[in-house]
Amino acid sequence: MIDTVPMPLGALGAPVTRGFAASAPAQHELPIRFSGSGSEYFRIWIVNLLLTLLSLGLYLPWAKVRRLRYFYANTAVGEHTLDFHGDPKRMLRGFLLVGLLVLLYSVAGKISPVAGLLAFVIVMAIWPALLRASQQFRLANTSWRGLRFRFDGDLSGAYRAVLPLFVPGALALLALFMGGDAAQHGAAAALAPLSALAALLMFPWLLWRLKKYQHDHLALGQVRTALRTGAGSFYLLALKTFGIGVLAMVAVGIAVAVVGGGSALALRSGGSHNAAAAMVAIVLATLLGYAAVILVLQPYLTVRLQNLVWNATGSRHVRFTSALRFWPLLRLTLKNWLLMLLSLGLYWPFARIALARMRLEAVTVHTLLPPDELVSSMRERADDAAGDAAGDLFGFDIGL
Amino acid sequence: MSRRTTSPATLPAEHFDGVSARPRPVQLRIDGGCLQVDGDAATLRLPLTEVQWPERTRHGGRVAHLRGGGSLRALDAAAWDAWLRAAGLHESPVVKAQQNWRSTFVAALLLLALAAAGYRWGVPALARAVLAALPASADRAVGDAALRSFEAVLLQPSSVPAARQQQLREAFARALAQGAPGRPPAVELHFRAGARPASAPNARLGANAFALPGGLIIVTDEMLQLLQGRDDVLLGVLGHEFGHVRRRHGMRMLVQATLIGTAAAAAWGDFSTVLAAAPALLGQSGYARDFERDADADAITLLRANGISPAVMVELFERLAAARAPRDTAAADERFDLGIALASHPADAERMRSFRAAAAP
Repeated sequence: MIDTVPMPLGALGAPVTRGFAASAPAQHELPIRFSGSGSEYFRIWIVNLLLTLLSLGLYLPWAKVRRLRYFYANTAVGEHTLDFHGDPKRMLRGFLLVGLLVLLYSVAGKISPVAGLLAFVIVMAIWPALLRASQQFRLANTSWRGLRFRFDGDLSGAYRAVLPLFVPGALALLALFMGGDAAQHGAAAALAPLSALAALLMFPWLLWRLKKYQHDHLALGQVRTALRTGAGSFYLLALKTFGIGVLAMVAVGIAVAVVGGGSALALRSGGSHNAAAAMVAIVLATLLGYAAVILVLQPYLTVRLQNLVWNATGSRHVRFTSALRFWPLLRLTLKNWLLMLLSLGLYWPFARIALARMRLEAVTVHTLLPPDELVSSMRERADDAAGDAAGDLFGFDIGL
Repeated sequence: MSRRTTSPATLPAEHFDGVSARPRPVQLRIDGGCLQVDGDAATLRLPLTEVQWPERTRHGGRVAHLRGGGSLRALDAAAWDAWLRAAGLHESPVVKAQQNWRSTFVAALLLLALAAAGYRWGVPALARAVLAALPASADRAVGDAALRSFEAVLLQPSSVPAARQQQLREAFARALAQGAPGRPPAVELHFRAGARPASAPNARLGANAFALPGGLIIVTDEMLQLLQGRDDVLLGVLGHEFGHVRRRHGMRMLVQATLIGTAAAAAWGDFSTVLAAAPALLGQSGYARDFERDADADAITLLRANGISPAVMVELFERLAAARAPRDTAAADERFDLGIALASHPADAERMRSFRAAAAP
């Protein structure tokens, strides 16, 4: 099923191949350019949706392959575009398998808490394996200049990466089991918030471990990358995000108070007839405030995380620079949301293309190895399509 | 276009062998159902069935995959497309549709019609099919879980005397025996008092009755108080809830929400979970109105079978409205799915009309 590909370069910084040693150590800069068009992707999207609906979802893998091939064919690294090789027929099996799993998972929680808990434990237990399979499938089916990418992280590495999640998770489950009855045990009641706090505090560490697992094992030809930053930078980012979130919340709080105060005055003068209007105003203000916080925080986190992770990704031969900027992305996010709402969702393909362009074009690849000298030791195959489908349905993806 | 697999024209391209990232300049030619790749280093000849051609798009590069791992890259996408067309290679109808605004427009209209039809007939039919395969024990498990979660926040033990509870249960069973609509499923009548949860002081059940999957019917003390002395109206309320049970409305809600949510996720995917959930939420309310109408029809059948005029139900809405009036509007805005006291006023008027109409000879 899954076979680990032997690396031509054993580890980071190991002796280099003949080709590289012979060439001058000049640096090659490969900017990423994205040429996708919103209107063209709109047509692909509409036809994909129609066929997916007509086939009751069975067309999904074909839709996904068309979508990915369009995005990849429009993503040029240097002068060469990426390419996707996934076989929809093979991916269909994975989709069905994972679809069944998701169905059982969602049904279990509704039938009984114990069944839901059991399903949750099972999904958590296989999640790292699915994560690895998803990475492996996606990279093994992505090529550049005729060479397939590889993901050579091993299974135990995937489980080691999520260990920090499992410890507070197990504690929380324990608390749930003990405090499940109406009778609240003191210990159980204390454990639940404690484990939630632990999970919150550990989240940056977990994210770092996951990103490290991903970026330590990306490979193309004889080049393999590593994530060269510690968990500290992720904690710093979490702290900054938290700070901005608090500031945004305070701003929203003040705004709601102003609106609420105004409507209270209206209430006093207008009597009960205006009560409903005042209520609506307050609810609306709160919702808008909530949306504003999300709208600011989400692009902020996207920008910082992409820059942090990709600027720290590299090896002796290759490194990346990512210069994504907050204000342009915030403007784009606001524009996308507005047009999505106004168009009742029809703007989605345009939004997606614009977002991909901004995020991709921020990245440049710098390599000491002339791209012509890249050599793959073998033609890799990793066709565990279930992992890829799981990536879609359980919501993890390689990101960029 | 006539199908020809011979083309004298050659096309310059780049060949990658799948092992080295170095491109090799080649000339491509199609003849005799084969693709001929001529380069300085090597020549290749392989049947067209072993070549996976890229689909035509307005933007983006072209890379053809060769069986065995090699690939061919176009130097000029437009020339590549023209060359393939000249060679008589047909493209799939999907690509044609994707590259044509008129067919995209038709596809969008079809999509709209299909979505509307799916919403109106497809999703309910699919939900019924799923439920037909689902054993009744699953309903009961869902109902029990729901009741437990309600009890945690919204319900307290009833203060209605056990004797009165038993009397009501027996009266309801007798009424059902008189002529329940359809084959009567097992129902359990439970009495609970509404609680005012500290976390959401506005969310209170008040005078209400609701059905949960698996045949659980819960009537609040406040509802019994509201309908004091009018057991005939109470029977109508129970008949309405019985209708929800008989038609497995609770389970259908669950399945239909899942179906709509899945369809929305397929369309908007990872843009926003909030936005993707909106169609599911909005879609539910449309179904809920149908469910209420169906349950009202069952209430009418049960009332008539017991010799009670359906018009007595008007009393319920009047008493509900009277009880609601002095309270603040916020509390009235709280709605509970499948409850008898859905607080949307136009619907109330419509339902009163239908009960009155059913009473007319």
